[in-house]
Amino acid sequence: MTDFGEVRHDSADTSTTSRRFNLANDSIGSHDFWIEVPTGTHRFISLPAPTTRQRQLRKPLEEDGLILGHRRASEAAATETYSIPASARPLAYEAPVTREGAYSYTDEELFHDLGDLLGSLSHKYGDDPQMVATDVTRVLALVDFVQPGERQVYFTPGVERLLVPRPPEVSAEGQYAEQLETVFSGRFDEVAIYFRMGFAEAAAAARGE
Amino acid sequence: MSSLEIEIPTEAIGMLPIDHEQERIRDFSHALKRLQVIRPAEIDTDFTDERPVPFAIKRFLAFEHEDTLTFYTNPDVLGAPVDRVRFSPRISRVGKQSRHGVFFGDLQLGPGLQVPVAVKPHLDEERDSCLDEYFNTLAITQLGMSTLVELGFIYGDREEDPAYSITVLQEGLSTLDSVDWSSFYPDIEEHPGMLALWKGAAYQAAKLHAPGNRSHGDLAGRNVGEKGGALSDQTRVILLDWESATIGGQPPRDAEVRYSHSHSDITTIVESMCRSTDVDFRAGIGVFAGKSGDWWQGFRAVFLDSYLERRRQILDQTAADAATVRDVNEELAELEKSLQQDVAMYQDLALVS
Repeated sequence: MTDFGEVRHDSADTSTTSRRFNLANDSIGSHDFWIEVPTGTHRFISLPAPTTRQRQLRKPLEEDGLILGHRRASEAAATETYSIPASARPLAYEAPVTREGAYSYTDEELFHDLGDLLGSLSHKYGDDPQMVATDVTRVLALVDFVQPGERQVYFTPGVERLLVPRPPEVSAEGQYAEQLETVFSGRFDEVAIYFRMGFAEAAAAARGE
Repeated sequence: MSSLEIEIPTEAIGMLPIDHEQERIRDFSHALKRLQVIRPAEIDTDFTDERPVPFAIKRFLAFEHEDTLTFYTNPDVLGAPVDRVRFSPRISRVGKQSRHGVFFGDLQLGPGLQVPVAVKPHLDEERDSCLDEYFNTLAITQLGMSTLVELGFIYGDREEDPAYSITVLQEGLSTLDSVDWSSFYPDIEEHPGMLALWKGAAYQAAKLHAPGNRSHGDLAGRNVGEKGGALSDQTRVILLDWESATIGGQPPRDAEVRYSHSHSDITTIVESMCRSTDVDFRAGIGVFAGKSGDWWQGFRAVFLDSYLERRRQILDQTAADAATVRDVNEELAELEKSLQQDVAMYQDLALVS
């Protein structure tokens, strides 16, 4: 179901990010919040420190800049915090953008980049391939108003905790496409080819082609 | 050339679609290079005037307006003098249904000062609308409505001079046309977050219409935004794009005047909700389009009941005299009847098409 979630007008925690933009995930204990400081308002995601295995899974994603924001906690801290852009929002609430020009991020580009992002994940771990265990749209974030050439889609912080080994008989691409089709229905059908192109290009890049 | 690059035959170049967005950004960059004066706009709006904003614009044109292409800055926002301006664009998904072709980027206003902005072109015969936009937005802010912050406007004396209004970009803001509403109606109770957004829009419209002498003038879904967006724990809705607004300086004469302001705005919301996103002409945001059910009851539940409730609350709180109470009740009764007909018409049209 697409919604911005339950509305809590009586919330005592006035710094929780609005439901429409919130990238928190209860299943991994992450919290999306913002704070006011003299230099302005800053937004963060915090979550418990990862296990050693989770750190290993995160490393290649982090090295390639595929995780949203900048991690600020030290390796030894009990929790870690990511500073993230104010405009970052869950993928699922996106209305279609199919026209305009060079400074518009259209559906074709969005789904191509999603294919590329998820394709990169599928080829990051060599003989130990991983895939996202939950609904993939819950671990993807979109950032608006970027400079030309900057990435607009990312994995949300903590994605490494939602990875599971991919059985050889399972097609990650097919499973992700199915989930995107559930969320975006007819819209995804129109641009599925761009998703598959992005996925294939990521595979080719991983093979060094 | 790599195998992934596509070679375009020379004869086909003329057939390529024109990138209007790129043209608009290029034209804006050229306009910045042609700027001869950058100065604050000092004229204030006098709310004792019969028509405050048109009178403010007249005073601006008579006493402040330069002959050459000028960037007039909002002194409340840009206190320091600015001597040069450069622009670098940003890529976005929001704002694409703007009929004006709004684009986004960063304005560099001298060393160390960079402001993220939304730029709205006012072209050809609509040049003067940038004055309406700027002075209306300032006036509506002074009257207590929350909206975007005007950074200034670019305007020249010659007909060929371009005109732009420039607001401070709020990166956490997104408009109702950037939401996918396809799963919202008829199961609206299952979408409390979306419903809260419409309730916020209804409250803002009620606040605007309560005095009876104000209207927005183009209250489509693309002109309703969630302010603060991410950086708020509550739904905070604002209305945007005030260039077609009417702001009266005198109390409304009667219920008919009140009705003319409220109905013109709410019927625009109705049209926006009822029309599909898939049409090129007057595209809507697709709340009801393609759905069966009683759209009138849906519109009541999503927007109108909250709007009417808020209008009556404001009437109670302002201790209005008997004549005002009678006029407002008459206005709201007539408004409800008209809107029912409007919604029925759009549902009938949808069935035909």
